[in-house]
Amino acid sequence: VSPAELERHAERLLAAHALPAGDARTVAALLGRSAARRQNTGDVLFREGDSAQDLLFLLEGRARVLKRDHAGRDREIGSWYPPAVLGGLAVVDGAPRSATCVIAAPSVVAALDSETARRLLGEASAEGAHLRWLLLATAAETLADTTLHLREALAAAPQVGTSEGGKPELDILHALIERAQT
Amino acid sequence: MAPQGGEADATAREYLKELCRKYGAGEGMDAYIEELLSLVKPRRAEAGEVLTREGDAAEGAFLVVAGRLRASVQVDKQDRIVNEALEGEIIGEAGIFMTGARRSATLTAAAPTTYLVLGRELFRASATNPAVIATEQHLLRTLVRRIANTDSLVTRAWREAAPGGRSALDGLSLLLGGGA
Repeated sequence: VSPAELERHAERLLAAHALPAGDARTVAALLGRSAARRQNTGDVLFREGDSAQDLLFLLEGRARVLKRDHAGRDREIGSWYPPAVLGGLAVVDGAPRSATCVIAAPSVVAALDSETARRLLGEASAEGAHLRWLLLATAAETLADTTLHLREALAAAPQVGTSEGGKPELDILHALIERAQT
Repeated sequence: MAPQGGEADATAREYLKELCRKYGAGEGMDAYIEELLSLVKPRRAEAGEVLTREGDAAEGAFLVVAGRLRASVQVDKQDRIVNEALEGEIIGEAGIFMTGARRSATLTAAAPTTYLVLGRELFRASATNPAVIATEQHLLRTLVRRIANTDSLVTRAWREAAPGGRSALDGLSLLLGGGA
């Protein structure tokens, strides 16, 4: 992947995450630290339950997301399209991967190893700041979209209550779980 | 509105010192913390005070330094509590990173509360300030923990809701699990 391509990908990443003040050259340098590689259909980026080895930038192509169902079978729940940051959450909190990601079309992926990513997250550098902003923006978008879905669930389940002293948002999910079980 | 200034400033200063220690910024952070507090004035609200309403323009996230904030939404003309933020927690994060966002809930102080409103200007202006970096790291960890907790619950619901078939929870699982 050439430097010019990396800068084009960096511009798309910044635009996708509403970071107009971000500097594309800095993000391109961040991508340059990563191992950019072409991936073929069927390649597994990571599996549910794996420890987080790297933070991935999907720059071209498509990745399918699968989760194990109640019987332990992988079931597709959707796809990610570029530009997307994948696996950032497991890198931040050190938790195992919560889903499996498989390449669904010829793709370009840049992988930043976990150790470098964690060091950059605490670093007073332009690259560190841009990595923090990218992950913060990704997390904020995830939570905003989740809120929208939960609002729809709330509207569909108006009788759901909350328990005294509990976390109401979690109570709603618990109630949805109970509804699903009945 | 509750009196602002002195007490809220002192509470926020101590909280930020602790945050700097927690994220390895070390001691001697006073000047950096003062720079941060010159950009983000600590505020205090009494119990019952409304900080922002559902539908308002979202400009900044609320970091609870002490006390408790409650988020509620209107469903069928009734207030429904959808979230609470305790000391050290953050709420309204869409206001930092999503341009043109509107508040998805009304925020009310559920107890006397000291808080900071973190705007995107803070992060742009002070990318090399260790106190700001510690605040960013805390913000990131807090959001990641919330996503992980929600994902765990949604995954459980998803597995039990639609064995073998598609479920309305697929979308949620993708959102949460996609960050993986």
